[in-house]
Amino acid sequence: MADYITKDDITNINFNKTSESVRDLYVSYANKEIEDLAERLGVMDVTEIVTPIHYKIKKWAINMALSLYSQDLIGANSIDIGYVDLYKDMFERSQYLINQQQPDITYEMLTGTVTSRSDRTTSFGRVVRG
Amino acid sequence: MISLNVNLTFRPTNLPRYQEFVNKRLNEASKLIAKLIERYAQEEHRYEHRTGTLKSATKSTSYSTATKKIISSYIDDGIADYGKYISKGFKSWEPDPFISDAIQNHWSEIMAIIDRHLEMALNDTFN
Repeated sequence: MADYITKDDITNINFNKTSESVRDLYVSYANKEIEDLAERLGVMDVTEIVTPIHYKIKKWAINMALSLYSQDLIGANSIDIGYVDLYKDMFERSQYLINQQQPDITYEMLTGTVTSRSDRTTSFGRVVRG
Repeated sequence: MISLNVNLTFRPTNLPRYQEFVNKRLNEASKLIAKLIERYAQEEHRYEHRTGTLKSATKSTSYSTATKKIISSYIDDGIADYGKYISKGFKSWEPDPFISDAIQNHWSEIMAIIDRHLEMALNDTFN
C-alpha cells in the first residue's frame, strides 16, 4: 500500500501528542480509506492513483485519520473534569468535514487526469422509480 | 559532571488535578494499546487466513476498575470456537500464540504509549 499521506501531514495538536506507533496506525487506516474511496469511484487498479495525491484528497484523508482516531477514544476522558468529551467533539467536527469534502473528490483527481472543469465536479441525483 | 536542578512548584492544589489527568490519559492510552494489540494479533501470525473468521474473532477491549486499567485481548469463542486450538495447539498442531506474541513483540511500543500519555498528563496539569 502506498503512503498517500504520512503522519507529518497531520497538524492536529491533540493527535500529534500521542506516540508514534499510534499515529502510524491511524495514518495507515486513512491510506486504506483512500484506496477504498478510489475503488468506489471506479479506479479499479489502485496503482493508477497518482502520488503526490491531490490536495483536496489529502485534506479528506487527514480528516479521516482524525475521525477514526477520535472514534476509538470517545468516552476515554469523560470523567469528572468539567468539560465536554474532547474526542466526541473532534469526531463530530471531522465527520462534518469528511461529508463536506467527499463529494468534491472525483475519479479524475485520483488518477491525475483533470483536463476540463467538468472533471472537478460531481452531480448527485437520486433515481426514483414509480 | 553536569547537574540539572529543577524546581517544580508542586502546589497541593495541583495534586488532585494531576490525578484526574493521569486517570484520563491512562484511559486514552489503554484504549489505544488495546487497538494496537488487536491489529498486531490480527496481522502477525503463523496460521493462514481462509475466511477471515479468526481475524474478526480476535478482539481487544479496555476497561478500568477503581485502581487498575485492564486491557483484555481474546479470541471470541462465539465467532471462532476453533481459535483456542490454533493458539494453544491441538494434537499434531503446533501452538500459534498470536495474541501473547503481539504483546511481547511490541512491548516497547506499549511502554512508549504509556510514557507519552503520562507526560501528557503532566503537561495538562501545568498548562
